[in-house]
Amino acid sequence: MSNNMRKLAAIALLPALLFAAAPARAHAFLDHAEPRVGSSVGSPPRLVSLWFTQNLEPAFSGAEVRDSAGVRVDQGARVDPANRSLMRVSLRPLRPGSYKVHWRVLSVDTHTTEGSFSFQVGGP
Amino acid sequence: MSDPLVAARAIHFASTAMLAGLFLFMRFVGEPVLRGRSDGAITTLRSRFLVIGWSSLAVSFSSGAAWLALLGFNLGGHSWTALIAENISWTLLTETRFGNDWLIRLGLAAVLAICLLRFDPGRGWRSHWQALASVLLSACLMGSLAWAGHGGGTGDLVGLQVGADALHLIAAAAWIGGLPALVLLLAFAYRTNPPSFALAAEATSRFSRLGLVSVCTLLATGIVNGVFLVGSVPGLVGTAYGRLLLTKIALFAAMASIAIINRFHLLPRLSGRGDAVAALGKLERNALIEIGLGLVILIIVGALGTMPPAAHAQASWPFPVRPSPDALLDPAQRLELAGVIAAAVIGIVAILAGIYAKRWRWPLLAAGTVLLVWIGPRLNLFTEQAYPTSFYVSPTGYSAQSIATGRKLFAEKCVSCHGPEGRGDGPAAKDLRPPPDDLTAEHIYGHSDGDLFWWITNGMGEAMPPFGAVLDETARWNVIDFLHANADARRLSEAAGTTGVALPLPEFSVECRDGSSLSTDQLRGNVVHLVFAGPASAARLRRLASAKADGETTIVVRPEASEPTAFCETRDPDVIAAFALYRGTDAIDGTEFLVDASGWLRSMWFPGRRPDWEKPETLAGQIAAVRRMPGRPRPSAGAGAHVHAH
Repeated sequence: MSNNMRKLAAIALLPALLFAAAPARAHAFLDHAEPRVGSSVGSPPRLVSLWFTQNLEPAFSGAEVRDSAGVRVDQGARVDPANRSLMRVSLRPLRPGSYKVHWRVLSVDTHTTEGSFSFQVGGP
Repeated sequence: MSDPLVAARAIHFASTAMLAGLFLFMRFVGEPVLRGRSDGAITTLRSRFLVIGWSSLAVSFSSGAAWLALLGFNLGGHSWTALIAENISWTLLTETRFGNDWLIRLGLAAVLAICLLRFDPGRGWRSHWQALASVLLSACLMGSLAWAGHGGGTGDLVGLQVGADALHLIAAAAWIGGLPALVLLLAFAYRTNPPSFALAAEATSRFSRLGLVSVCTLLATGIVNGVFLVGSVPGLVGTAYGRLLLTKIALFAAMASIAIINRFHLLPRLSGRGDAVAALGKLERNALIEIGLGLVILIIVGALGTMPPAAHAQASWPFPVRPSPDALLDPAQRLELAGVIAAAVIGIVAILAGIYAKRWRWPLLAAGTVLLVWIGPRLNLFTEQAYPTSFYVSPTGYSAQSIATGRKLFAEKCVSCHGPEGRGDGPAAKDLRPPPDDLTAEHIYGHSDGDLFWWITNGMGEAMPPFGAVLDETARWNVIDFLHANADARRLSEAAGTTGVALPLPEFSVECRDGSSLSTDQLRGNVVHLVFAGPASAARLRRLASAKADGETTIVVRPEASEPTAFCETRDPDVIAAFALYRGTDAIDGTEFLVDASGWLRSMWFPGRRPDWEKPETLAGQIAAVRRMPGRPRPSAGAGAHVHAH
């Protein structure tokens, strides 16, 4: 809500706020992920959750997770029907090691974006 | 226009605007002017309107189909065989919002075709309702393109954005799309023998009124869209999207200037003194120029819709200075700024008046020049040095992980000069001229993240070397996050036991007993009590569990090997490393923090410190004090602007 108020205020007080960046949405970018981008987690996760900045088109959005040898370790990605900006990738049981998540999504305004990140399981 | 998708979009926008604009023109200009006339020449004119209508409809349909096909082509990995073999177009049509909108728009276009069929070149619309229906349907056809651009993301204000975008499109169509029909009507009036000046004057006057409504709507909705998609002046001048938008605004201004000339200079000549024939010829020519400018605008619109909006790109500031926010905070300087602006306006007005006026020309020009020369050096008061990266926004979201990484990098690269705590007292500092800055001093809050980014990347003066080749971009943002947390740490420890500071909370996430994962953003609304548990914390956690208050969330951060607790918790070593900064030592066990409901870090406690949070009534008092703190908005994670409040 505070975010919305900020935007309404930005529109009303445009000249005063010209130098304050208002967050906009268009093109689906990765907002954050669980496990965190680049993080190291103790116990193996069963899911990778990806939160995007915009709603996704489930028919054209996907993600895969591969281990350091390039073998796929996911069991498919699914956009949450209740929150279309959240995509979950279910995982096979993971062993300690480094994993790479690659996502490619279509936002509802028909822009394709893609990206990848890694996370570590176990070990120091 | 190298990208066929840009071309298809531009052609679709243009042809749909022509179609919608034609219907609006016929309802508000054409038919009211031609009403009651039914000679053969008028029938020919109306038939020409229909030609515009049918050809716009045909081009709109085929460019819409091309848009769909090109989108499917891109989605199918740039392969036409995949597009057909995997039935991508069908999936697009049936399963995506774009496709559903496309089908609805196809239906609208079909009904509009019926409207065109029912338009009688001899008599015009058969009924008032038919005219109204065709206006509404064509406005829907144009306005619904809002969903196909950057409209419609997520969030509660999406309705405002899409609504503004739809109105913007309809207003643009009313003006640009009405112009071809206006040209036909003016040409008709011109070629009638004798020329029908009254007809041309009424049409121009009515079209001017339509144009005025259109321009006001375009301005208002354009500002709303600008706030959503560009968001700031740096975004406007510092990104490809913003500069293209500026080009579009300049073309719009040119169109509006021509419209003003038409209304106030040429229109009066049609009905009175002066050369009416020449004026009519100029009106026709101006309408053609406006069509040309309008088409360029529509091509730009086609391109803008495929580019990432400025609010998503790093804005590269093109000027050597920028307005200084510090000057605006000081009332005396604000007054002086108002004086300087007033002098600038008077100076410019005087010079313009001098150019136009015949008498007083030289005194006016001289006075204006003197005023502007007087202003010149005073502008420095309100500006400060800026760098291309001054308005860059950190992509890290101020995460605990980023701060922890920055802490390690700072220890490796920076402590020799800046000192272990960034106070400017490293072993190498004494030989440096100028000496290294104290990075925990108040001035650190006066610099934008982007300025710090520039100095780390390119060095500062003689003493500070550039680190652009040593640290990658993310690493530089990590160091900047560390600097903020490190400066905040000093303030938090100096504000011992009070809740007077408000510091940005490093972002992290916790796991709860029900298996859900919450980020710190999602914890807002409650006061958060953050407990760093150690081997000796079991009794403390049991007491907290039994005395849980409403509207308060307890989060436990515990070491890797310890037992799970009853609370939402995390074992992320980065969270421990980041918060250890506030504590001043890595032995953070037993330290507790309070975060207010807006997500500001408010106070810190550890065993032995007064007042004693171990006493339930003291802790309850602290939580109540935090809850009483006036709420203040925080930028969301990822928005990036690093705001500090004290």
